[in-house]
Amino acid sequence: MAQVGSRRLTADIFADSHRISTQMALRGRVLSDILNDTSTSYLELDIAYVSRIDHPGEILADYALSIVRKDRLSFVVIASGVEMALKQNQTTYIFRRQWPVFITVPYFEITGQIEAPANIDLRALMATGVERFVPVYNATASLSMNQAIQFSGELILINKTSIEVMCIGDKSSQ
Amino acid sequence: MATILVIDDDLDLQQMLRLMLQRGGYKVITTGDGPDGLVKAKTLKPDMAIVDVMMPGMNGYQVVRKMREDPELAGMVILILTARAQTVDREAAIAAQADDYMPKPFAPNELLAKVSELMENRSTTQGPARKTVGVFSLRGGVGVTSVAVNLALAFQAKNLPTCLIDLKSGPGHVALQLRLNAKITWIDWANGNEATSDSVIKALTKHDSGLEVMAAPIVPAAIVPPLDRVTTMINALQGKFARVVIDLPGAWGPIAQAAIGSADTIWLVLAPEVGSLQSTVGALRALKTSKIADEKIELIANQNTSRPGLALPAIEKALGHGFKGKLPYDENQGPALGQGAPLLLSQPESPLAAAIKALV
Repeated sequence: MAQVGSRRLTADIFADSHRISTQMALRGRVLSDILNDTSTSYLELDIAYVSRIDHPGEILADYALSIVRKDRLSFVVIASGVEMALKQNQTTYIFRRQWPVFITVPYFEITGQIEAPANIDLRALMATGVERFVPVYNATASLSMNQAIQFSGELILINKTSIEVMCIGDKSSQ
Repeated sequence: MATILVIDDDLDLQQMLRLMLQRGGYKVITTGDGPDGLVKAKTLKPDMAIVDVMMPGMNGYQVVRKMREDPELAGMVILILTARAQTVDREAAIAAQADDYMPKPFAPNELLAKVSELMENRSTTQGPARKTVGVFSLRGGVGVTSVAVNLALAFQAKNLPTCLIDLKSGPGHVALQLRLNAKITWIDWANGNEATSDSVIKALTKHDSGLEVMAAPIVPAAIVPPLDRVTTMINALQGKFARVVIDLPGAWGPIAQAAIGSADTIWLVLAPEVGSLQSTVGALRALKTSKIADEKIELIANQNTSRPGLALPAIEKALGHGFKGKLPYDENQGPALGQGAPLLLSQPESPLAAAIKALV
């Protein structure tokens, strides 16, 4: 059944200590292209609702004009509307498969699935030359110190420069 | 025809909601911002409000809190509809005292089903203004639990849907006094993964009288639940029941303070003896320090032994606070506790039961 929602993309942008919820009019582009665009270091937001990480449900304030330094944000959660965040059906000659992934960034652990060739090369995956943000599908970010605080989405775009550890494959033990 | 007020700054979505709800048989009023929504709610008195969260200036949680603070709007059904779709956002919606929460995007049928369910619940819980009473003492053994149990039963006997929360972290005695075998306690719920209003309701245990009980564990809790879960639970129950009675912990900790902050009235129970008097002085000072309004505090004297104690007028003079109620010694109370048959049900004309009934 068709879903009813906004035409704008709702995204939760996470810096080390704050959650910024925003609704973005992308004007024909997808969010990952905007984030990976090296011609600008900033992401301008039409409106920002600011919460602290320890009370992420509570809105501290909203601001009509704000700007985010792309290199300082950790990750962006897209709860739904992945088609507005990432180009779909990119043609490739290399067989790609889904890999379970565990990633740490400051204060958060992120689990989900990444798409990569069968002979995965982690160094290539972490290279920041073309794509600064790595897409993780069906992902959950948990606050390391309080696992009850979680953010899930169809997609989480993680800033490669914030990644501390990336583990690929199924975990073998608890 | 029921009227629904839609408060959402997304004009496209506003129009879609209007069409959907009109097809569902509702009259719809729309507005794009919180302050105007409050004015329309006051003047047009809709049956329900659907409120977006991310609105500039006044966000949806602020709108809901303002509505709940206003006695004229406090009973209105409120559904939060938001693209902030995380578990913490659901908890925030319930903490703001919305009746329910729905994430965007949503299917039209799901929204209509939710609206219909909330309107049905409203018709069963509508009635006198809702009220929460916290029953409290810093002195153990003065009969706080017995007073709370009989007070809750007195509300229920007046056909006011009532919930009794045993907020001890263990061992709690409400379930024992009502001979209830609670499978889930509030500690279980608060330490669990789900924090929805539905999950709070599912954690209740129903007594034959119709009273719903949120039980405390028998074994003291090893892990104290997060404080926001306590307020979420109380807010959810306040939204569902005409009366909520809280058997408060006997220590001045964060859980007791949060629950006291959520209550409309505090029944401060004391027995006429020196230890209880001293504890009551301490409790009154603690309440004052926490800026709990004096009007919220009602002193209840509970003569829980046959031995004559301090004179009540002397206690009133010492505390500078008059008694709201004076509960007499009742020889039937001991056997009632032993049988798990509270006096309000087993002997409603007994002196203690009659005195509590006179106070509600």
